[in-house]
Amino acid sequence: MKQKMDDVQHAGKFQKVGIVLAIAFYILSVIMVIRNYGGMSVMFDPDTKVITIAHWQLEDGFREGINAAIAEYEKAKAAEGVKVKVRQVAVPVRGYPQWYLTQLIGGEPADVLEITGSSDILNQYFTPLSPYIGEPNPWNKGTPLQDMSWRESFADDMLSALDTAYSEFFAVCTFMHTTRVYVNLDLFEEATGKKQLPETLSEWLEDCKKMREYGIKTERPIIPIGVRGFDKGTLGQLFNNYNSQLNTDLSDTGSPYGFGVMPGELFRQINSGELDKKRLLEPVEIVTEIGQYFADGFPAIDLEQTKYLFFSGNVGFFIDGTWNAFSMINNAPFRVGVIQIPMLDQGHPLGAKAFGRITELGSGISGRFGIPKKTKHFDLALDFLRFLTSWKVNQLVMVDHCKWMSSLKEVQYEGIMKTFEPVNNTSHTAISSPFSATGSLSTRLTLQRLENSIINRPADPMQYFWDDYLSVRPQLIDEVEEASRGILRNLWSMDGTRSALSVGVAISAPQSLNAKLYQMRSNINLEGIVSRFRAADGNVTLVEEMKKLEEYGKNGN
Amino acid sequence: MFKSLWIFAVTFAGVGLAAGADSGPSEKDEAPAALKAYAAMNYTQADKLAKQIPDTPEGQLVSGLCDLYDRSHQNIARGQQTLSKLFYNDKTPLDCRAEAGVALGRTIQLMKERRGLYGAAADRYDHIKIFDTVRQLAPDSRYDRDAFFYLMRERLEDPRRSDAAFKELEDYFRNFKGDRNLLPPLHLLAEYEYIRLRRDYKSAARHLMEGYEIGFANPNENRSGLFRLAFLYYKKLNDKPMAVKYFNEYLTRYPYSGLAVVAKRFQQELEEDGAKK
Repeated sequence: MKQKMDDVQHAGKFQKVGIVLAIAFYILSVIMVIRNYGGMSVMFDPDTKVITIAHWQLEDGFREGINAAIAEYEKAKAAEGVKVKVRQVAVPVRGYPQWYLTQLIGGEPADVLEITGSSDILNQYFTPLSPYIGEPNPWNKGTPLQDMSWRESFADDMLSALDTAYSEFFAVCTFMHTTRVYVNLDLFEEATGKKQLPETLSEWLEDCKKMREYGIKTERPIIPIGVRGFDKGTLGQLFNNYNSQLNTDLSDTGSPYGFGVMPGELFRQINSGELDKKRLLEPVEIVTEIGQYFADGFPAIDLEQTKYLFFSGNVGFFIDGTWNAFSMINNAPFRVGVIQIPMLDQGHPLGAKAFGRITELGSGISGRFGIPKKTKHFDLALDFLRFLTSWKVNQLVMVDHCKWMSSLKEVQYEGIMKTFEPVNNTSHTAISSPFSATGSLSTRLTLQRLENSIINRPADPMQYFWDDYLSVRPQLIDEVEEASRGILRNLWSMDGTRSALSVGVAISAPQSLNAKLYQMRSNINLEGIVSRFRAADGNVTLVEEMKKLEEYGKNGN
Repeated sequence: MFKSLWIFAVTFAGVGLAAGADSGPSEKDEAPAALKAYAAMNYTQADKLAKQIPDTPEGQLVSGLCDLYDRSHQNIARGQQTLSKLFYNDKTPLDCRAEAGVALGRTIQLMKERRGLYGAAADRYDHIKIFDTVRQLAPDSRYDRDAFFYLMRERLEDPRRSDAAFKELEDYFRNFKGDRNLLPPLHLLAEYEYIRLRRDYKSAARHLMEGYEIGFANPNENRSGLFRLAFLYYKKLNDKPMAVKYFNEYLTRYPYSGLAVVAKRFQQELEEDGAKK
């Protein structure tokens, strides 16, 4: 009987705990709903409009920067007599694509969203911004950008935001990045006995050699150069950089249509003996030489592991984008310096014909934000997007808080950020390598070949690379031919776009803004079709010339 | 019970879609919602709305176009049949007829170019005749421009007809009486083909200049076209005053672009060359 009484008492206690927990969770839910909705002031003030901005940028400073912009915006709108509350939602990048699609399909997405995914998704779910980009950004009044249209206020005139499949702007860009080398200054000075950081490739290789020797002497596992080996990102950055430094002059003659290089034309020049193939292979030798200072087993090391190794103090140089600069500099337990990828110099055996640094102007502009069609407050969302990309506020968010570069014109940088600025004190521009620029397989196999060259250290890396290239030629030709079929499929879709835009002109009032916009997009579409013709014809030449390439030491030497 | 609720729901959904697609103050009031949805490239919605007006030319046009271009419900043969009925009917309103003709002609042309995939499925139609008819129906219009654009590429490809095609191209520009803003894509095509087929840089630069002066719609094309123009005058035609003019213009308009540093180098070379003389 007593046992039964105890059981009943215990059960009663558990029930009470359950009820208390249920009430606690209910209250917590109510608080969270109110908080997510914008707070008490919004719940009890029906005049307050709430908009949401969502993104995947979890890097140091970004959320704080957006919060600062939100505070400024709410204040500015309040001064206009408009009650606005802006919420910020940050979602980790790994889950963002799924979350983003769910939001869009669910029909109640954030009002300003960082975009990702295919052109079809953008066309289906995002508002075309072309009607608005020709107008000045009203938030630029009193700034150096006040006389420019919204489009012109961007450093790249919004080219990075143009969706060529639909000939439309579905987003605007908010920041810009470059690739830099981060240096552990304490380790560098201890190992080399120098304070002057390397500017040339010869100096860099010499410093790496000293670091390795220092590691052996002090019995520390020193890695002179830390790389993103797992995705081979650093190999690609180095290969492209030194290829451009060595061969940028080919842009003058590398295409019959103007400035630039076409892979088929470069191979034609090799086959006819006009161009020495070794010129295109020299970057392989340089990357192989640099690669001897990577960690053993570097192909298995990914970005996060490399960052960890860098923070542990055992990596001398770490190559990565400026998006990590702030956290690298702030979180490292040692002093961090930032330099550009060292320049190929006259002192290096391959440097006699090098052209020096390559410009970075106009590249690396990203962070695209758009406005979903389902937003309930389009005007406000557009206004906030303009606010975010206005001269003062964009600098507040990007420069002051994130230490990222702005996507806008007329922005001055100070201190460490001066080293992030795109290289512009040169007269040369980047070019692509014909070995890696004919498709994703060609890129992947080029990086794989470079990795093998570093690991196996063949006697002649250039011959090794060339022989391996020829051995996979059939697959590479298949890839180009498949790309050509893709262009034909794309031409069908582009005719669909032409047809839709033509109907758009037909149903719009003559000379109306809508008619003009449809007409403009129709012209963009046809201009894009000319570029597809160019690409398809280029592929035909490429395949013909690839088939003619001969063994190492035969033609083109 | 369930079925009647379903019909009720679908009916209201259709009304909702139609109402949504009808918005837009500057659009022609009488334009059916199906056309508006099609213009917005919302093919699923457009097809649904077109099926509500199956006996109208607009409904048939949108149904036919969706059959051709909606990749999720593509039925090319049916789409071409629908469009050919519209196109060969004299009573079809001009806009519908001309658009039906261009889309019909172009899809036939593309199918004939890909015989490995489509076989002889499109051989029952003569796309050249269709394009020519469109051009006669709506001369100097965007339909004319589009049909001519596609025809030209094909004619230039044929070595036996290439000379005549280039002459036809020049005649087209000379005699065009419509809105000149329609012409830049054609100038771009002409520039490309003059270089590809003849290495005729003089004619290519002339067309590029004319297209650029009117203005390419794609800002990227406008920018790269201007640089290309200066480059062709400098490196291919050795016309230094024109090269200087367009490099100067490039640097004024696009000082932040990647090619600005190259333009400065070329400009400097041209100045040094001028100083030596």
